[in-house]
Amino acid sequence: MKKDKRTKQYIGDVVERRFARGSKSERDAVMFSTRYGDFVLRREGGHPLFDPELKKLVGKRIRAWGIRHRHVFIMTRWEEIGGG
Amino acid sequence: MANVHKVIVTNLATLKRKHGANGLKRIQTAVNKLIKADARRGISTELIGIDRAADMKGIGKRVTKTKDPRQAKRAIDAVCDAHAPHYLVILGAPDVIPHVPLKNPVYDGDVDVDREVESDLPYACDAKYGRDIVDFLGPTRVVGRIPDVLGQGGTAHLVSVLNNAAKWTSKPRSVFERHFCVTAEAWKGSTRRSIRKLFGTQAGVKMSPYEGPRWSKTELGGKVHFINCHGDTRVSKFYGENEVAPWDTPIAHLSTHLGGRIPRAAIVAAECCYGAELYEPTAEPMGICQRYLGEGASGFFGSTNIAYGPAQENEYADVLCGYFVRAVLDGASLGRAALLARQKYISRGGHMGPHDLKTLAQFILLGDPSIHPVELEPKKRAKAKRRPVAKARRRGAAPPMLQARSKRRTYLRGRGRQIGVTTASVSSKMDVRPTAKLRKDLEQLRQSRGLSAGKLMSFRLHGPAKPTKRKSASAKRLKAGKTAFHIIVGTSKLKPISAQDLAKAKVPRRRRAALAKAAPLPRPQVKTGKVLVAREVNGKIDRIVEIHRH
Repeated sequence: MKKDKRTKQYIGDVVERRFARGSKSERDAVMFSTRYGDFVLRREGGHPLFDPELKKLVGKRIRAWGIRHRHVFIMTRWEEIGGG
Repeated sequence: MANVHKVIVTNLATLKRKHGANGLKRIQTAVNKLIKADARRGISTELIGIDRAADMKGIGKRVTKTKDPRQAKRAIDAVCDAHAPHYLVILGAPDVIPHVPLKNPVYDGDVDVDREVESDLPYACDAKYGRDIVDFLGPTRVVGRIPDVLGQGGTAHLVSVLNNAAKWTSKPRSVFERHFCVTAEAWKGSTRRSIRKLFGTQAGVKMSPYEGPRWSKTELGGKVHFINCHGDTRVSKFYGENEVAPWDTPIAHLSTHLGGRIPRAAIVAAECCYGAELYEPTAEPMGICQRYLGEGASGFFGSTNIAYGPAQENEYADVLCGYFVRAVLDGASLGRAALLARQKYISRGGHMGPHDLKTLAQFILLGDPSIHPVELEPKKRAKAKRRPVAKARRRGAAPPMLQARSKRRTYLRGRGRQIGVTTASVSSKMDVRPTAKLRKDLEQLRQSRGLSAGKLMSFRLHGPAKPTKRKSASAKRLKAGKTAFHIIVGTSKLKPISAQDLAKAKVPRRRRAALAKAAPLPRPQVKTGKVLVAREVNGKIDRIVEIHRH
């Protein structure tokens, strides 16, 4: 399995918001609100639509490592840095 | 330069950079095999490096920047002008020949997050480079993309896809009666309708969350795969959805499970969001579309981004995918089926709404467009036999099959051009503000459907470049300037879901436990979203389509 060279570190708040309304992918998405914009948050290999693990991070501020792809931030690891 | 029936365009320098000199050699060998196989079928094929001055000599300007879609479009247009090929093959992923990033008319950063619609539609059109989908309402070319893997590596995958493309043989229509169809339960009404139209029966539609994703080889043995599930960007899975518990979206189809289970020369139509997105596999395995091609499927018709469709009716993605499969079953080549589907989609109502534009642009064909999966009907075959190839050659004429194909291309070119100038369409930007009275009507509509306050996007219908004298009844009624589309987006609350509701909805006991774990019951805060497309004619709403319900 290749390691993605685009992996970067971001800091931001994890929030829950309605996403992609009316499309075939509409759901309450866990979003990652950073200084570079808001992204749909996803764990590498995690369920993209409903991930209970990510729901646990809602309301927290995290530092996450991963890649930005379109409107999604796919994180490989993360740590809480406060908030809540 | 005459007598080239199929042109394979690629960027050889980029392929070399991605696959190395040895990799490129292997790819060229595979392409040569394909060219020889095509020659045996009476198709003369040529590989053109649009980045090579030698290949583009006498044709047009070569591509100097791989990532520049404008250069790619210009070069491909020049190749098509020079050869007028019956088939155009784009060889490589979007990092070899880019998709054209068209403007998404329904983007607003919240409802629809695709700023751009990555598309191969412009390559299928004579129109000059542009980023407005409205400029590409007249597709005339038979186009397909044989992708390599985005990023580095994947030479073996591309070679395998090319080898498969060289080996195809047409099969009788009866072979394609056996199909594999999987749908999200929430959209079963729409999917059953699509399947009934295609095969005359809705039997055998698999429903996620109750079935899959570890489909048996027998289940996957159908030659036509029709998939109506959730998808997401950079994900190698499709997902189902429980009708009563929308948060229950288990895996319905799995890229890693397809190995060795796909029948040779299968055809796939996937309505899923991002179904045909080509992404670089890293920790996430190769996407489902690529896996299908690697496993020997002939073609994959899918969307590069977020797709639309209603839960019960057939609209947008349902319609386009249905047209594609229908044309393939009727004996068209994959590329011609994609072109026919596009043309039929544009011309079916005489006008294009905002979601129509996105749907048209987002669906692309992955696979060799010259593959004819289904044999000609016995009647047509017998007719072709009466005019043998050798006899035609003795007369110095082109073989009958070739003559027929040339005629079809001439017709489709003309039809595409005509559709392009006679179809009314909204523009890609919101350009109208509803009157106070209409706003009130729309507000009432929103409330009657139980939607929370959401966004309203309005588009005016503009007349075609060349209106026809003979107008259809709908064209007469939908006068440009007096017709508009209003998109209402909102969310509505579902009533609390109890364990009894799940039992009533026949959710199996084992899944009920999983659901309870995933989302404690009852869950009154679950929201559902809808997009209502209201068509306004002469100041009154005359048609409402509920695109989706969650």
